[in-house]
Amino acid sequence: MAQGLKVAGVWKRYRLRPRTLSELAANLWPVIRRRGRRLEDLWALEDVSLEVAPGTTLGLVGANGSGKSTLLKILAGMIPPTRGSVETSGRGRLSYLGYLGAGFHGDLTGRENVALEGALLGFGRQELRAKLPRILAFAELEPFADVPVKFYSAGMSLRLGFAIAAHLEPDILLIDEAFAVGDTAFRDRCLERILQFKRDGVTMVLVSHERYLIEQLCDDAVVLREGRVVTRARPEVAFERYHETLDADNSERSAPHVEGDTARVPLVIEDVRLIGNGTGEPPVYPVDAPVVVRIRARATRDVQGATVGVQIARDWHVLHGTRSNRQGIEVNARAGETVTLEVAYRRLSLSRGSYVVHVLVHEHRLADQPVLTLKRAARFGVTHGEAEGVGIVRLEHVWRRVDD
Amino acid sequence: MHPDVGYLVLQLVLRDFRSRYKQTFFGALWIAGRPLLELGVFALVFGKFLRVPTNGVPYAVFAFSGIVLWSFFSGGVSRITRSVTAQGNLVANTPIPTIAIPLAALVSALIDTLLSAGVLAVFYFAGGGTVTWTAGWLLPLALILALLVIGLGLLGAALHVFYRDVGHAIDLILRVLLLLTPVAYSRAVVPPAYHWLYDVNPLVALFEGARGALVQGTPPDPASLLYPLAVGLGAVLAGTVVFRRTAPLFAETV
Repeated sequence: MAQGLKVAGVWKRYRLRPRTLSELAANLWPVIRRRGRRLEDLWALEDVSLEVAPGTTLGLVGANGSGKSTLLKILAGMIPPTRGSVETSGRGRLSYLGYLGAGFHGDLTGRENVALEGALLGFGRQELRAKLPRILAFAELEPFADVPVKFYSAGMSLRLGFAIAAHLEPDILLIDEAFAVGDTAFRDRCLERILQFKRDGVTMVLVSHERYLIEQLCDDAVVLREGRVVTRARPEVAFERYHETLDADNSERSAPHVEGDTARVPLVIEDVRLIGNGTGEPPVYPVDAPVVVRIRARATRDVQGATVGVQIARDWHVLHGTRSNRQGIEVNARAGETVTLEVAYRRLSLSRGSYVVHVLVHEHRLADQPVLTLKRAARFGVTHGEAEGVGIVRLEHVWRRVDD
Repeated sequence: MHPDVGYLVLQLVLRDFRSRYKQTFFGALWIAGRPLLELGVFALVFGKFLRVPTNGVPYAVFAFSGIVLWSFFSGGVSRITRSVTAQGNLVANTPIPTIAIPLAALVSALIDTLLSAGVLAVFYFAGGGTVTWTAGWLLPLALILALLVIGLGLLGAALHVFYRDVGHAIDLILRVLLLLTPVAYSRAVVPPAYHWLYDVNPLVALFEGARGALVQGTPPDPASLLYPLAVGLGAVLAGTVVFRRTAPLFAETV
């Protein structure tokens, strides 16, 4: 029987009171001198309430220190809430995956470590005896079962750690970024196993910074910020909110940023603007709308054959980049002269989300590296009404039925 | 709740045991090293130099029960005290039932003690030591000692999570107690004027009782065991209460 989770008004305070004589002295000193700062309590979670319906998967998203891991550990019963309560509907097995192979001991063999880690994760003797061969097979480590784990590569240890976790049979599974490591093939297998848990009706809570994982695995996601729930929404919407909170909390992250050798740069970018039928600031365009990026630059010296590039990016990924010289446009200008270039995108084949525009300057068309990069020169959003499929880009396509 | 705490304890004990002697040339032979060294030094200093009275039996026979019981007491208390912090990684990152950790430390200390006893028994019997029916008293005496070990250990383990001072304090206390307990000598060498103070140490009655029961074949006076029993029960009560109340905070503190 699938189980749900209910978190009601949970607060968590970490007391940072003095624990040593020197800390006590340091803490009293400002009181005596009436200046400086004392150690203060830290509220890691403030009035968090949420429910996870049986058989669904909830993502927890938030910046470092926003309280995700604290919340997960409270759900696991590892740390007590200061106020509020956590309830599970019905009875069943709850498994928590902090990080893979938490209990591994380098001097023990793979087989010995499986027994140890399995016991830590809650396997009983009979269960483990039955599963041990399957775990070693799943990890593809049978030939190395009797080799001390310290001689394993990092990837082998991870495989073994995940193989144990993969043989859990929980009703509720709490995952703290445990499997977002390793090579691509390994990640695919982990993802596949987690999806299998999901198909089996396991109720899951997943902490991750990775948009891809959250979107693939979660039915919805909660954004935490400084211990409070900011929003709960479908994963892709939640992730946009998460990025907005990141931008709001860290203006450096969202501000335009110049990278490059400013002394050597032939063109300075004076203005970058987006032209289209968007609304709001930053503008939000309907999907498939035409957009023009207009760049005004000024030559710092006499310039011959410089090129300008434009990139459209989301998170860390550049989705598309283009350079003016690809279409035969190079910048020739006298010192102090202003030039204006445009890139016209006939349609934005992007899915819903927020995007940034980077502008690059190359000294000449053969230069690989830009001499100047203006990161986040502009930003915009894309919206669309009906479901348009999944993924980042929207490839133009036509469905037809072609049976004879 | 963990379905099979016993199996978890077993795995923790195995991990401790396997890892301790891995990559040592002599391996588990080191188990014999410690009791042999203790017996050798005690025999030299207390037996030959100071010539403590042994009721006429060879020193190895005289000291057997004391060294074995002391190894259980000091090994148990110091191991259990450090057990939770030593496994801090597990406590912070796995939903392990916390009690399994001091339990595993207790079992490890018990195994060490039994192995020491095995090694020292060779010298005991070689020295002409015998076993009579009064040796059966060793069991209740050891149980009372176990109460003290568990109680003090749980108290130490819980406090050690919050204050590492406890580890240093325990080391000092054990060092002092070794000299204030009739391990290497008998209570007979203590001037009677000091007995009232000396007997405050609940270990005195246990160690004297064990030696008498094993070597002289004289059963201990049951009344003399009431005091250590009371202290032991008090320690278990205090240790259990403190450990249970603080255990939920271990994961965020350790």
